[in-house]
Amino acid sequence: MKKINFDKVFSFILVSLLGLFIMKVLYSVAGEEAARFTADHYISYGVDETGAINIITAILFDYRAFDTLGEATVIFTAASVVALLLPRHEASMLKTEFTPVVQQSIAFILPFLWIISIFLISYGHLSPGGGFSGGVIISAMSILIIFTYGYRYMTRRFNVKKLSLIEDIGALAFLTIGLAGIIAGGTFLANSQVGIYPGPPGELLSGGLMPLSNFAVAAKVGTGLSVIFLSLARED
Amino acid sequence: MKVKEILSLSLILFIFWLGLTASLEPQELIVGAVISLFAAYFSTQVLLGRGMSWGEGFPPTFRGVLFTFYYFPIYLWYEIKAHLQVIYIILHPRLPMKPGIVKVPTDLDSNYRITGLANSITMTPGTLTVDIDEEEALLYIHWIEVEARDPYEIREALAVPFEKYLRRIHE
Repeated sequence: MKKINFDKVFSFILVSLLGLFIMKVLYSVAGEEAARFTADHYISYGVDETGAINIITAILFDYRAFDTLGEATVIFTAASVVALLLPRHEASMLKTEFTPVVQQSIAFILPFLWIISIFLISYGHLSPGGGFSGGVIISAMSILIIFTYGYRYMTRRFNVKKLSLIEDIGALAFLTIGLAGIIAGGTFLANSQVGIYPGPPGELLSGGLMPLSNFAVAAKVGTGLSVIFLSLARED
Repeated sequence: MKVKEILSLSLILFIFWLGLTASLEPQELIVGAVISLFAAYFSTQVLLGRGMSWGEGFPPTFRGVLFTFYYFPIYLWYEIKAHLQVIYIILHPRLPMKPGIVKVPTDLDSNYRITGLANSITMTPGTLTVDIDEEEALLYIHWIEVEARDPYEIREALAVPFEKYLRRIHE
């Protein structure tokens, strides 16, 4: 007979207890009237109050814009720390030289990626997308350029300093948009709650300040992730 | 020339934008026009360089546009033919294939045309451009059924069908 592994038995009991605990919490939350209240409110009145058809963007950039500031700060902090810790450290990346076929194909794709990313950003309040996904496509473009044309090629056009500047401008723009809520007499980052004109739902110019904050967050996310990648990847 | 290039690229991007938004609202059209101008300027003037252009002989001439409509059905025909061949190999109980990598010389001169040829070969099933040699204008192609040994016949089978049309692009 095999010896019983007590570590495994112990961890099995621990995991089961944890699972039971989480299940109990989830059940009690699901039954709670107060927990459903906000969700019901967002679903029933979201479009009328904020003017944004896409309810996720309405929550991200209007009701819970302060949380979005926190999320964006995480990326900002990560990019800053990576750029701070690895500025002169010469880690090496394998210098890959792709054939002209790859380079020409990427050259062909890049303008279309721009259009897709800006479409996602500016239609964030109307269709799936928004500042975060659009920004990720922008950073994917810079990663594509670094891989296909090389690290030097990218830094000749955009170095870490320039990208960080754009990131800072994006962060400041988002905070300035937040100040508009205070000026209008509400809380920080308040949008529709203080009566900023939401516009007719479904049109491009609607949702109050949402499109602007989408652009600010996209600038921040796109350049922030590019800074992280640029700092980590070096070419010999 | 540069202005013309940017304007025609932004026109293409604007049509792409119309496809994305699927709306003819004036405000969306204005935003789309501004964004396509920006994207065309930024990607051709700032991001690209190093001999890579968005397309040689760009903006396309009238003949260049006609060429696209002319090349597409021909390409589709080769695509269908290659599909049928591969389906035959897959469904045959003994899987009669002879895979191998062949070296195919090409006489197309520009990166743009060679890219067109390499992508045409890759997109047709059964053949795949693995690598190219820029200096000697050679394509290394993985072929699912190597039918010929003679370099001339290989070139005749793989590259020539596309080459003779691609040579005419942006004349």
